[in-house]
Amino acid sequence: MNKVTLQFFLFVTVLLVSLAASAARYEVVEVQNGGTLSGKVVFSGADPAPQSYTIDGNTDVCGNSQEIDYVKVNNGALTDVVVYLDKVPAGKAFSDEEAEIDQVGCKFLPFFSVMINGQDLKVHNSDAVAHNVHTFELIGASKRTAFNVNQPDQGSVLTKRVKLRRGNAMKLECDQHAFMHGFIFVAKNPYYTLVAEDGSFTIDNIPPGSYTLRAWHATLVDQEAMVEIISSGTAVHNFEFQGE
Amino acid sequence: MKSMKVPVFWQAVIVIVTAYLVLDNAILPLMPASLIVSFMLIIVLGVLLYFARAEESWTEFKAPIIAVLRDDDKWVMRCSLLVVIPVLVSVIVYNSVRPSFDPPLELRQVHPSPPSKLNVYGKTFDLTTLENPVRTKILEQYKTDPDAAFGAYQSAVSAGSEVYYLNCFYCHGDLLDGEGPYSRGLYPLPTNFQDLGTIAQLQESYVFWRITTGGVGLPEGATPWNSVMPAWHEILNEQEVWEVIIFLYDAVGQVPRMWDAEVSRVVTSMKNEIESQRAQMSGREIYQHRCALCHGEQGAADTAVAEFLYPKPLDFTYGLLKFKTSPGELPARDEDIFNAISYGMDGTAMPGWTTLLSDEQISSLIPVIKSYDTFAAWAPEDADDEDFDDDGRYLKSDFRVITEQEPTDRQVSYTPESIALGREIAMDNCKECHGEEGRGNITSDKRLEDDWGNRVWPRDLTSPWTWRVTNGASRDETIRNIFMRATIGIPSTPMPALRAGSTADQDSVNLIDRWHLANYVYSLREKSTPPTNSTVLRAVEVTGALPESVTDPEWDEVPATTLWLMPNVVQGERLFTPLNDTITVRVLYNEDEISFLLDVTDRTDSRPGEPVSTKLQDENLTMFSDAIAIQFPKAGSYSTGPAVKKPQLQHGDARNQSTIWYWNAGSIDPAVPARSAILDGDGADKRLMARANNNTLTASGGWQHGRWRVMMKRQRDSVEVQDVDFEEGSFIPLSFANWDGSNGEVDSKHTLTGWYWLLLPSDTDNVVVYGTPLGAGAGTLLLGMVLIRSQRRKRKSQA
Repeated sequence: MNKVTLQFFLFVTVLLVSLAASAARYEVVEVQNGGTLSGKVVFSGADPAPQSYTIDGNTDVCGNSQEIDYVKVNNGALTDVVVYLDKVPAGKAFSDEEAEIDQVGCKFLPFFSVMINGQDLKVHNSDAVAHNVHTFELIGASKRTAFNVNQPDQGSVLTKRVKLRRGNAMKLECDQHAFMHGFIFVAKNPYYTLVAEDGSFTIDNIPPGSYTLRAWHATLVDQEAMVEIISSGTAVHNFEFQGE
Repeated sequence: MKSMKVPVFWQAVIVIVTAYLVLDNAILPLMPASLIVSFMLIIVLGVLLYFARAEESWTEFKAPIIAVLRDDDKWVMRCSLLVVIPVLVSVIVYNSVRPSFDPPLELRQVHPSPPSKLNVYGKTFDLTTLENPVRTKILEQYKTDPDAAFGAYQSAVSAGSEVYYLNCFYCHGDLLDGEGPYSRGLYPLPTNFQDLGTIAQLQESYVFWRITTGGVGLPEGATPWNSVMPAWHEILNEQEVWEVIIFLYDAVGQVPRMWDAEVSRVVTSMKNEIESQRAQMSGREIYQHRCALCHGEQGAADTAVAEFLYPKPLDFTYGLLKFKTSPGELPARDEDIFNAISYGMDGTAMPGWTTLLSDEQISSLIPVIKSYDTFAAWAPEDADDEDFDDDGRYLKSDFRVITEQEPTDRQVSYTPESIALGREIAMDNCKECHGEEGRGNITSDKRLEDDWGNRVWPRDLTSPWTWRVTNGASRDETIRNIFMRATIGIPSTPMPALRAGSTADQDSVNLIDRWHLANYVYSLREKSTPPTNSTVLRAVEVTGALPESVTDPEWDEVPATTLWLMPNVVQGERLFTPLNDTITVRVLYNEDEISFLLDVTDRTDSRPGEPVSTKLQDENLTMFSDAIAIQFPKAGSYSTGPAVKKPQLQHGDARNQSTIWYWNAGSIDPAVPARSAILDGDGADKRLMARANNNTLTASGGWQHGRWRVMMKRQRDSVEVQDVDFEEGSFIPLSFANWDGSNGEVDSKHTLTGWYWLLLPSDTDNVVVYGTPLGAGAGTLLLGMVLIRSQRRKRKSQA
């Protein structure tokens, strides 16, 4: 074996090893002839009524009752849905997406937000009562504690690095107030988007290829579809969630 | 060589002292004092007779005694004895006349003789020839096909272990040592099968007899015959009993006694072969052999046994350990896993495994547990997607080993100032779940769940015996462990961390304040009385009226005794998942009446319709009214000696009946006031009936800050002849029961204590207690002086 061949083998080995090592992580590259994906998320059937909670404790801060509309339907369009491409190894850069949540009047605001995996989540407590920020990694019907920190002081800010290894979303709860619920979608690549008020979405600059497209909603069962992105082309896929 | 001859007198002394030491110490179980006294009398008499057999030895024997009494140069010794002997007599007399609070002696006949015939399962078994048919079949197969025989044996062991874990293990324990989760407070204690004096000494037919007929099947002479061991032939079929017997011998590595020596040899050689195979087991095989029955074959704790346990066995697929020492959200350290296996979890079904597994074997389980994790907790940071299976299990073995440990520096000393500061922090951070007094009564309206959706309740911080892991060897160590829990939280539960983890200024509670909090939490144990080891409850006499209500401050002066509650896992509809674990009792009496104050830590005031409890109510359980009861034998249904006799613990039986004082909290919706009743018990299978139009029991109660306090009062001299009289100086059996209504406890589903003794101490008569020993001492002194005087005279006259 001559020196050049040896060097070549070494190079290939190093390349393979580094590729393998980076498989789990997203790599930012220049996207050539990226395609675009668009569509709409609609909801058919009766729009479920918001859930109401009666409150007995800390009523001076939390009020006597609260409502959470888990399924928000706007003229037949379903909102609070994230549409994303699953397991994209490399592609365009992330746009800035800072997740910041405030606890006001014993509510997580916003109820639904989006953040990038590996970044910090900032949680404020604007209430004069203690809350504990209990986050869960969601996988299907399972929820597993990600972190759970007490936050007794009004005006305090809690910053926690979020790094989900398997799930794509988190639930927020407070164990001192049964009616506090919130959700965060945690993006692992930049090919995701929160649908607009009319349920429409567009994802651009996608490297050509075939992908699993998913639509994620906090309480409805996820939907998925296979999509084919051709060079500089536009693909369309619509999702329909069904009510009762 | 010059022979050293011990003087005859000292020979006698040595023989007597040695005999006493042997009787007192070398013979197990301990000999009753009365028996020692009679043996010693015989021995002393024998020794005296021995030396008195000839004039010569008798003279030699008494020579030193006479010398002490007479000789001029022995006056020091003489005077000393003149002081020592009367004092000794006084002490002995005092010990025999002083008031004694020792309970009646209950000797246990360990292996009562079996009957020759046993009637169960609709047939008659001849116990003199009966062998285990499951084993017989395996041995038959062993002759022709040993491999198949080992397979059949393994299946029998598996089947038997399932029977054991669904029925027996609650009392007899995971390690078969008689220390199961609900064994506390039982008397007699559940049998320890690890003890070589138990099944290893017995034939399988004997074990079959004991299991199928239980406590009620014990012969009349077998004391005590009030064991709560059920008659299992009513619950298990014949095959299951034989299989569980195979499992018992297998689990403790023993073989049964057998008639046929040849068969016995084969059974022993099979056992040896299996044991040598097991000694070579890998971590994964040990897991399947020892852990899988509760924690599941794939670590998911989805087992039949788990359904009957509270708290549930840990599900390893979430990669979380409740009690860990790594900071923040880092997965548990290997030491945390190792310690959890080695020392177990107090108050749960998880025992410490050091008696059955070596340190190496326990360490070999760590990667097995990590391999069941589906959340990539211990998988390396840069692991490939391809290295995980579809369920998310990491398939390689290079798991992360966490070395970082949460620091416990700058510990604050345990002072009243620190405790007071800690209380303020607790009110801001802990009160919503642990309650104002720390008893774990949720004051917010959230039903707390763990990550798996199982109901969880905050710890009662006033009862450290209900804690897991956190109790240390010293106060400072325990405080450090509390600090650790408060700092890190308890992952997979609602218990949050008080340290945010990223920067110190974001911590919910700063380092020093967390130490104050830990000191405060430690101090809460002073509010409670830990469970007793004694079997006696002493009542306190008062002159004048007894307290009118449970809030009367007079109760605070009365010494409290805390007793273990165990769920009824033996009779009728059974309860496997209790929440209340102890009852604290205070007893007062005056000339006419006796009054009991019963405290039960109960996180909810379960009177159906009560708003807070209704919000917290477990949706899978119906809420019933909380209730509490005291049971006494009827007059004549018990005996304190010479052989102790008590009725069957659960409502006696037809011949030995019990009287039960019962109080029920009532409900708010529908509006039913609290009520009390006198019930008559004549067997666990009979429905308890309340005595009609009976208002002899006065009872009242209230719930506050996570605790029921109930008072029950009745006349001491029973109005109704069948009931016991509460006489001073006599020991009366009593037991307690508690129904936690929010836990779905009703009828036979409830918790109970074993039998304890109630004692109303008789008045101390000072003339008798101090006068008698003084008199005896003075008398001895006088006698001694007279003796010396006469001996000295004799000497003079001889001289």
